[in-house]
Amino acid sequence: MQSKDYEIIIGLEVHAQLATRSKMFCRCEVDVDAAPNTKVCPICLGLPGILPQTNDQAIKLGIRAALALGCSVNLESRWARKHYFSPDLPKGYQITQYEHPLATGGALELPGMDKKVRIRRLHLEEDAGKLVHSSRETLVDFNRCGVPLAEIVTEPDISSVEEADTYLKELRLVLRSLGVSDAEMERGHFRCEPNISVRPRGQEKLGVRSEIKNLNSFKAVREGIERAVKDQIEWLEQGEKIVQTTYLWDEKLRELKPMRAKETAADYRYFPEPDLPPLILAGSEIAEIKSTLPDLPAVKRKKLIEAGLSEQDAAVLVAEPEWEEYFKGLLVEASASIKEASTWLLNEARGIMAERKETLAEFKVPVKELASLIKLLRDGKLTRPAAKDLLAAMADKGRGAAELMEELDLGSVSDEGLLEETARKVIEENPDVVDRYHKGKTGVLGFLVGQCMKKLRGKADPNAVREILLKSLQESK
Amino acid sequence: MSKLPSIAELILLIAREERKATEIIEEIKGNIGRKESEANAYINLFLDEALAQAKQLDASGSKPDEEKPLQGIPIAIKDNICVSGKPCTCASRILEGFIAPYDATVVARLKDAGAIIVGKTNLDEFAMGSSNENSAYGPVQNPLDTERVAGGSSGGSAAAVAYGGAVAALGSDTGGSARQPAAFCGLVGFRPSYGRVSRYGLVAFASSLDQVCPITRTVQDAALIYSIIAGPDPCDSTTYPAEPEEMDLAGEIPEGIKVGLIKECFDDLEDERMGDAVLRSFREARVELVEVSIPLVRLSVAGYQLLAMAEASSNLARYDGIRYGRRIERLGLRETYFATRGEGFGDEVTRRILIGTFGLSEGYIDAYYNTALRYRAALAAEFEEAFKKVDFLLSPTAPTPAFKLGEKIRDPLAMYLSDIFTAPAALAALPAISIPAPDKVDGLPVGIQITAPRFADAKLLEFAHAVERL
Repeated sequence: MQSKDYEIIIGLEVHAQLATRSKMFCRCEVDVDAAPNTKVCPICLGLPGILPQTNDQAIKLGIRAALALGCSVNLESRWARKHYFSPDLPKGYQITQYEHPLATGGALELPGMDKKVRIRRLHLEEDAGKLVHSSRETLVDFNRCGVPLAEIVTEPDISSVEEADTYLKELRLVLRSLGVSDAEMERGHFRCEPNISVRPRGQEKLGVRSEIKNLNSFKAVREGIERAVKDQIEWLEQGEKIVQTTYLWDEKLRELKPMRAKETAADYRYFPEPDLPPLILAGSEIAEIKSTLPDLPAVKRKKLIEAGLSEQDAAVLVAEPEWEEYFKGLLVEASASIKEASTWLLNEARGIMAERKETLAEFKVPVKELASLIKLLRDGKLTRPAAKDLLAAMADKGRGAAELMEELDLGSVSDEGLLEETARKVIEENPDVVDRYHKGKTGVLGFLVGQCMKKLRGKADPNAVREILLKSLQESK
Repeated sequence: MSKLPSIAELILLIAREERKATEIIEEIKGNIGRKESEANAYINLFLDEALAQAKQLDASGSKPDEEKPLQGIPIAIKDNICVSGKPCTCASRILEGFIAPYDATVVARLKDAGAIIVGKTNLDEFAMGSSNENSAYGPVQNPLDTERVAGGSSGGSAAAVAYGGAVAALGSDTGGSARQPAAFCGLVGFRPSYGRVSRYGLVAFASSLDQVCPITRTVQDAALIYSIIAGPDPCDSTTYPAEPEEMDLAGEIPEGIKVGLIKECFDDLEDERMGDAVLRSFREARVELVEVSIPLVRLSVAGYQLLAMAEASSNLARYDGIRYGRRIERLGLRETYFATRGEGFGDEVTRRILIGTFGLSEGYIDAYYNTALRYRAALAAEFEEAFKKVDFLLSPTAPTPAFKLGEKIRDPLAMYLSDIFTAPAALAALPAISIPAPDKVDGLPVGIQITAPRFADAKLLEFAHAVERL
């Protein structure tokens, strides 16, 4: 059988670090990169006698994310303890939400895929610390311990690696655009745990799940899922029994390592957290948060496309806040049209950046200077080809548009006398062509404009040349 | 035994300059010198520090006032409540070497009120026990009869106050741990409504049941300490948001008070003299006594133990030797966990962690933990129903007076049953107080337990104060 004979079913769990200043249950600053164990207190260290205090800002961010994902926010949710022993889990349990999560039942539309992934639930919890291994010993850093997380769980609606990838990128974008999370995957702000099963097409019974942990990049997620799917299909083909297993992705070897099978699955002994009362929210509170939600990426994209951008350009602007900001800058600084701004930023400048292997942050042309280039072009002081050359030079030298245009002598000839002189010469040198023009073959005008431009070494506004040429032809009749 | 004055009496003595703060500490020191080696009430004493503090107070002429109502009053703290810079052992080997880096809210409030902390008292390990025999620091003896237990788990606090090693003490009560030792030692033990007193800094045994409690000579002293430590605390999200009500300890029983005798408690007494001792003063008082049935109290020990053990198994998961306390290092993490926890916890704590873990496990949680939760709600409803008919409920604090050391320690179920009268109020989150009955049984004190509706703490203290003077 072929892989197309199988149906892939994927559910994703994402842990997103909430962008709060302080931790979930104490007031320690969130700074995971600080010197080890400097952002800790008796509460996040789980010392005897301590009690948790919830962080209102984390709850607000959780609600924001839930609303953006179309979830219904529960007016009463509850905290629970999830138990397991690990040196980086100082209380021996994690405070999370279990039977009564913050929000349930949303959906996220996958851009360009005509597909919706249903969100089962969103709940809040605290992060664990970090184990730092060396050859001789293992150390624990508790700076991350107690950092607020939102766990977002989908229904098993995802049926390909591409869909999983698109879902994750769109979710990340939503969280970033809301200011809910920095969602930097490499920094562990956005961690994804897929569970994957495969079944022969047409079979009703679900396959056995594989879960993968430790996927720290979009690439790892794709590779991990691909690997799990491939393994499962192979086992099915060979008639092997699949055991529900949790795997760790080995980043170095790029392969899955079994962590534990179901027989030894952890029993987390969830029970209601007695140290925290239920989280009670007022409908008005939720409505207020809802009223402050910005346009979501999908809406933003739609608006840009309606304004004339291509789907792809709209996607770039919405995906990258810096690009969006630069783009808006052009609209303001150069009073540029959507078309002008997209041509010069998304085609020309982006092409140059790609060639130079630069990011927008490294690009040496500030908004103001690209804006003045657009203005010079619009005022006929530059020709299009000259403008392209000028932009390349600006990107190279990091200097202003007007200044560099002068220095490189890229400016257009705007002296009417010179233009008329040139037109006259071209008319004189091409009597046959001119004759055909007068006989009604107006198509030859392009040739004559071209001749003029050649004499002017391309440094004139072709529209201006055309007008003067028309006038001169009229006179030469 | 040298009997110390009560806090209220001391405040008057200091105000009239008949007693200095240093003299009180010296007196305590004398009592400790005579009695402590037998009683074993303290795990740690800070007498030099206490004396230095007292000297400073005397030198500055500072006396108790509105702002510092406990100025110079020596108080002992149960060693499961954190005092900054001091060890907090919970009477467990596993916390050896642990120094608390912060004050529990109740300790901070006592210090703010001017109290001098004289020491940390002995207890059953992690407050699990009813006789104070489960302590890594040895059992506590009852100062009234050294062959008998002082009760538990706050046995050290009760013994210290009883022999004059402290003027008052803080204990904690999860299922009776303050009321029962108070009863055994002839003292007052007051368990406030759940949520009235902050638990921040009280090392958790069973979070939904634990409360910090004053153990004192008089109801007035209990009320005074309560008024200082009670009230909302941002560090404890389970504290009740309103400030406690004002109290008026006039000493008179108001007209028309109706008191309900919990039928099941009196019916089940093996020794009738216990019931008589409890009831005598009420028979002469102008209160209406009626019998009230609360059938579910008979199951209270089972319900209480299931919940308390489940929560304990969770709360005690943090003691792994990784960050503080005693670590028994073995090759490998699991082995280190096993050795540290296996050797660090005593038998009773181990038993409760194991049963509690079982009760929360997949496939068993419904039969045990969730059933106990339903039981708890049903019991609370029975109490609510009872309080529609009466103002207070009455029972003995414990089925017997102080029993002998070693009498029950090998029989956990018998030991658990000594909580049968105290566990119900804890489960229903109600305030309850144990005060000494005027009559003794076999020469040993008997506790009268009065229970009130939730958050009627002030009314309960007012009533108990009046009853105490009958």
